[in-house]
Amino acid sequence: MGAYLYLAKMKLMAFLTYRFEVITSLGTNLIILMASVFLWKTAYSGTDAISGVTESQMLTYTIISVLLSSFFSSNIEHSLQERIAQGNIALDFLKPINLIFAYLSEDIGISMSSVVSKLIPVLIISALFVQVPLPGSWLSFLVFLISSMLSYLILWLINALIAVLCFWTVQLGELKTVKDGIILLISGKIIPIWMFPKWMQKVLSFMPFQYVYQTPLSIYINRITRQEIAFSLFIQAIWVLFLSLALIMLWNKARKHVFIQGG
Amino acid sequence: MIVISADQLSKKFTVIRREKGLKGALSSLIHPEKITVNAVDNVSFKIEKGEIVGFIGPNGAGKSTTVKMMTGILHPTSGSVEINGLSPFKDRKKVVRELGVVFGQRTQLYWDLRLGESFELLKRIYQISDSMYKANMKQMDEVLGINEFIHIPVRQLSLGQRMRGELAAAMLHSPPVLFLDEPTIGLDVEGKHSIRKFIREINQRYGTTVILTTHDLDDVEQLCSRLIVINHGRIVEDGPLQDIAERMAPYRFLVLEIASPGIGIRHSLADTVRQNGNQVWLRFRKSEISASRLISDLCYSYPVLDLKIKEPDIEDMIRELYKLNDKTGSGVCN
Ligand SMILES: Nc1ncnc2c1ncn2[C@@H]1O[C@H](COP(=O)(O)OP(=O)(O)OP(=O)(O)O)[C@@H](O)[C@H]1O
Ligand SMILES: [Mg+2]
Repeated sequence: MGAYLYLAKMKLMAFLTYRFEVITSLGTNLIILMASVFLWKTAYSGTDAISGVTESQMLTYTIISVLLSSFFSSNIEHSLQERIAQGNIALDFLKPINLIFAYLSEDIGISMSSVVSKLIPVLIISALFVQVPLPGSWLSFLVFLISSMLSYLILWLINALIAVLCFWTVQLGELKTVKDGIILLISGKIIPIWMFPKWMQKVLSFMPFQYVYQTPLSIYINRITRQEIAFSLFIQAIWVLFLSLALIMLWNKARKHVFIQGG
Repeated sequence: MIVISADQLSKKFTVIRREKGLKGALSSLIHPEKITVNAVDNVSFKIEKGEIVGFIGPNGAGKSTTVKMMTGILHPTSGSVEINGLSPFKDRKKVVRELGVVFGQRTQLYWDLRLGESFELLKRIYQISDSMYKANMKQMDEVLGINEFIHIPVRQLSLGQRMRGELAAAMLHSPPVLFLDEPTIGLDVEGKHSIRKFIREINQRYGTTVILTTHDLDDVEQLCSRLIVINHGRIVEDGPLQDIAERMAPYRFLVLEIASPGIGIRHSLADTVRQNGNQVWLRFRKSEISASRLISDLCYSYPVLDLKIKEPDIEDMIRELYKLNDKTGSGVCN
């Protein structure tokens, strides 16, 4: 356990020193935030509610989405790709630790650094322009946090699954771009899925993506009932389980590949 | 006690041969031409506790591949390896705890961390107790002088500093077996010296078994109690350096300087191989006559002014060994 905590702590410290990244990501996040706020203000001009969601709820949704996304960063694709390309991956197996947990710990460390370097600055600066809405109650905030953690795991597992493909292809290139595009469009990060046509909503409900952004955000803005919240958390947990199993299976295949091909 | 045993170990790699140009790329996409490389071919040996064994052989001989199979990060195509009676594949986590490994061409330190942080991490990975950690760090500093650069990020270390860091990292959990793949590559005289000193010291103090590969024959001469020469994936010699030298190059030379050039020097157990001016070269076998005997015989009969004995040149001998095997079989087949 100590080793994993230390890994997270090391990454946290290392990433806190990247000042330049802090400034650039702050800039991008603020631009995205402002653009979406104006987009929704325009969309709502003349109507009170779209799909039963008011303008102020939608603005909350947008602001929290930007804050979440600044926290939802993961480095696994990059680090795995580098380890494989340089042929160092085989050496990782010389350490008596679980490598998947080690990679996850590192990424959690990086995300923790994002809380300090990205989330808090964006929060403070955006508070100057728009009113950042507080959650309804402590309890709902707690549920939101739990849901966000599950979201984090779902997203990380998707990234890890893609990253493991590096063992066979070496370069990820387009695949990563496609995945990032999909997440942008159908996770509810920018446009909530409930605004999509009914048949698309149906199809998307069988995919993991909307459980990354839309679920915790819906909880935050009080759009769904208690029963629906419980059900969403359950589905998130199922996805975490399912994707974990898939990752373990693929990882074992990748290991075998390394052990036979020599990394 | 046998620490490592390799039994008929073989590794074949399948590589796809790529043709030149676009046409070649397309044709190798449709029906790829596969070539099998016999990187390691039917290799067997046993290594006892406390031995320092040197693997040498030309580039591409299969040294690194053998080390990778011994440490469990590469599956053999056939044959088996055991470390302390365990398979490094089936009992990976248990076996790797007992191993320290350094690949000179790669780093196992965390590139963007300070060296000391890599050590702190290893302390947690191997669950080393505080007192043990302190004692080991102190010793690492005494032998390798790591405290000088412990606060520098790994990527900023010089090669020699990094290699000392790698060795310290590999030995931090006091493993009984240490694998070193080219630990002295690219180091200056001082760097090589401190690494050899370190290896000798842990071997003497803790009885650590050391397996190293190298292209530096001084490493072999100064460290290894046993030498395994490997070429085209096969073991061609296995034994103490002296024995191999004895077998490969049994001759020594006595070089004499005599008072006047005209004297013909003869001895029944030595051949006069060269005589120019005052200098005479005699070749003799250790097994037939001792140097002291030969010298006293010759000094008795001839006016000898000065003399020296030349041992066979290890480098020449090794070069012969590498060449010898080139004539028989090649490592690549279809
Ligand atoms: N992952 C791999 N895939 C394909 N072929 C490989 C792989 N690793 C090694 N080989 C081949 O196996 C042979 C032995 O390589 P190895 O690295 O063991 O040599 P070596 O004795 O360590 O050489 P060097 O002294 O240059 O380090 C070489 O022909 C090499 O090209
Ligand atoms: Mg090698």
